[in-house]
Amino acid sequence: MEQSVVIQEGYTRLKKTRTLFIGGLIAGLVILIGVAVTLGSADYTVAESYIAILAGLFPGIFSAPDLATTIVWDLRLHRVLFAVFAGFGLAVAGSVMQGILRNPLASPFTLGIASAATTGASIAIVLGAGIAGSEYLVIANAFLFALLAALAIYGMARYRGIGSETMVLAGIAIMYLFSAVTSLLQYVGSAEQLRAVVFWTFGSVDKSTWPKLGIVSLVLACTIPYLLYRAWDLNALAEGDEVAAGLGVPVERSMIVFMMIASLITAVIICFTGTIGFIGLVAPHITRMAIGGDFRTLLPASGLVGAVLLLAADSIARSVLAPQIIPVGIVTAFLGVPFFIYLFMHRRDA
Amino acid sequence: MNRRCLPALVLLLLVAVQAAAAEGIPGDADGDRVLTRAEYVAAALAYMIGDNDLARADIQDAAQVYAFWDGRPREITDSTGKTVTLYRPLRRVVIFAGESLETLRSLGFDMEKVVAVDKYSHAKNTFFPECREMGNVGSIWSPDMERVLILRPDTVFLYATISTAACDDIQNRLEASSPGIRVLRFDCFKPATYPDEIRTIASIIGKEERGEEFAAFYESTMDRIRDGAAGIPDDERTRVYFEYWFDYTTVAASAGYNEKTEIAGGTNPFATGTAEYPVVDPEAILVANPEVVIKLAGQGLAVGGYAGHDIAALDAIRSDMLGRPGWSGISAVKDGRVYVIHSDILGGAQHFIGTAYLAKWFYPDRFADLDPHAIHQRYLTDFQGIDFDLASEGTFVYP
Repeated sequence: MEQSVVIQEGYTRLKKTRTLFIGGLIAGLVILIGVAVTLGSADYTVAESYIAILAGLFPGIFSAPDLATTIVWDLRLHRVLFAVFAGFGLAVAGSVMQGILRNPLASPFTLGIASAATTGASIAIVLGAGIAGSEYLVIANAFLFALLAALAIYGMARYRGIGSETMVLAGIAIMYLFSAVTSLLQYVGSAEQLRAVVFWTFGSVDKSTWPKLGIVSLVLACTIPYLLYRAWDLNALAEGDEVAAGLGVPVERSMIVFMMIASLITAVIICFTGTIGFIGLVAPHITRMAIGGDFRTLLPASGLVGAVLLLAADSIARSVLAPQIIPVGIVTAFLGVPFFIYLFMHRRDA
Repeated sequence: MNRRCLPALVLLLLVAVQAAAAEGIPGDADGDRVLTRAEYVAAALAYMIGDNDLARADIQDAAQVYAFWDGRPREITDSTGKTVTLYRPLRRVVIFAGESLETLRSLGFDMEKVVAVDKYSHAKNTFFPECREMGNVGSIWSPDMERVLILRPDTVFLYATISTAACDDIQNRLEASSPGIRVLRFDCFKPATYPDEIRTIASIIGKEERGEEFAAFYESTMDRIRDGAAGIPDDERTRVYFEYWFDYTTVAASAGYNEKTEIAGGTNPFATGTAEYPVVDPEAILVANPEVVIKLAGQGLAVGGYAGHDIAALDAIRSDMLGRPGWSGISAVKDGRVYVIHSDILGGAQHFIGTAYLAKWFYPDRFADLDPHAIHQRYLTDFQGIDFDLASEGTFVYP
């Protein structure tokens, strides 16, 4: 009896922590978005920036100079939102992969999906230079190769018997293979193509546009509700294949579906941004340390952590050396690693 | 001693002896580094009756040294400041630096003496058609050293001030494996040093007169640009946004393209960037409101240049830029002063042609008499000696 009271109290406390954590993240994200739209080389005041936003929404009521409206609407807003959505998606994909593979190092990177996307992009950069619409070729190829890697992992795992260990090993093999292909392309490519490939691997949200934001948000809107709907199955899988099977979860099929969804989310984001590696690995860990591993809350919360991290990193990337922009992939690591190490060192149960 | 080692050792000694023999002027019997008339005649006669071990090529070299170098070795200083003593003319040349190759051709060097070139020059079928028949020794970053050695060059050209670590490494390996080999290092793409390099290379290959003519042609163009841009007050200089191959990537003070922009009288609002080619915030370009926009095509944006007569491709690049968010408000767009230029004529040895275009675009009135198109055609016809008609071949600038 006493024990159950203790458990109940613990659960109530956890629920409170979760509510606080998620509430705090949402508030933090909203504030960060509010600040990020006012940052930029054009020295608009906070008021000018917001009037420009309102002028875009209600042109009849508010008016702002054309240049301000253009800068805020066509250059800043979609970039800010793209960082939010991309961070959210990468973190959710990372959570799902770490969960189903029960491996704290699993992420789109360790599984070779990102290096496959890099290979796809490199092929387009090195062999497609000069072809009309080469930017779209890079995007399409990166996307295609990312999914190809996911399929290859799936194929190998299926042949060998699907399990978390086989998937991780297959993923690492794929990663090395694609890295070698990319290195070969860099070797044969010209200095300029090499530069373009390297820049792609830094990752950045510079190439964001409204249509690209639309595509990413559409994919997230289709996949994340489904993941949340199946959060209990993810919880069961995270406890082990036998536990999941015992609870009536179709293990193999579920793993494949989750793996493919996580790959799709990753692919659709990094094909536009290049490899932003760190978010998918660290955001889930940060969240688990704070509120535990229940996927019902872990998924949205780690998504929010990812969004905050990426948006903060991009805002710093745009401001520190303005008007130069540092690739955001570099800043994410600078920002996230100290925070991650701090949490890691200060929490025993990490 | 292992029996297999002996032949290898003998071979090594032979190679060393042969290499050592390459030092010194052929026929210089007393070794005083001066080939006198008597020594030359004696060597030539002995060769004719088969009484010495000189080869036909040695006698030819001796003749050249005697006739054109006054019988003495030639000392030249390359762009690294190193003095190299030439005991005989260039006969088998390997070139890793495409700009040096181009300069040699400008100076009328016999291209048959070039036995191998870097992979980039090798691939330029339109501009360097003769290179297709030459060996390909890779690039300075991944040189095919075996091929270099097999070709037994007497002279190798490398870069002087860029990629110095890679070039130093090649030089060290060459000097270790082939004593007597001459490594000459020039850049041939920097406005500050190119005229001197032209004259030095001309003297190496014994084409001083031609070198003077070419240097004068180069200098007259660059001086005309510098003089025309001199005296423009800082606040009246044309504000230029120079975009590199990649979108929103510009050039900072350390980049060669910035130097050429400034020589042509332009001022670059992003020159203070820390990276050589910084990516800038798109809104910073709108705020800077440039009067002229220059977009670089080539390599990273492979359209036009010598390889392609494709005006539509350059037009597409330009149209893309005009349609960027907010660009309709930029002065350069409003005034129709957005230009695309190909790196073939703004980088490398042809930078003076591109710089002339920049000057004309920045200050159409000041440079009304400057005709970059004519300069370009003269360069190709009179100096490069290639059959290339700019009216119907290649695309270098747009519009």
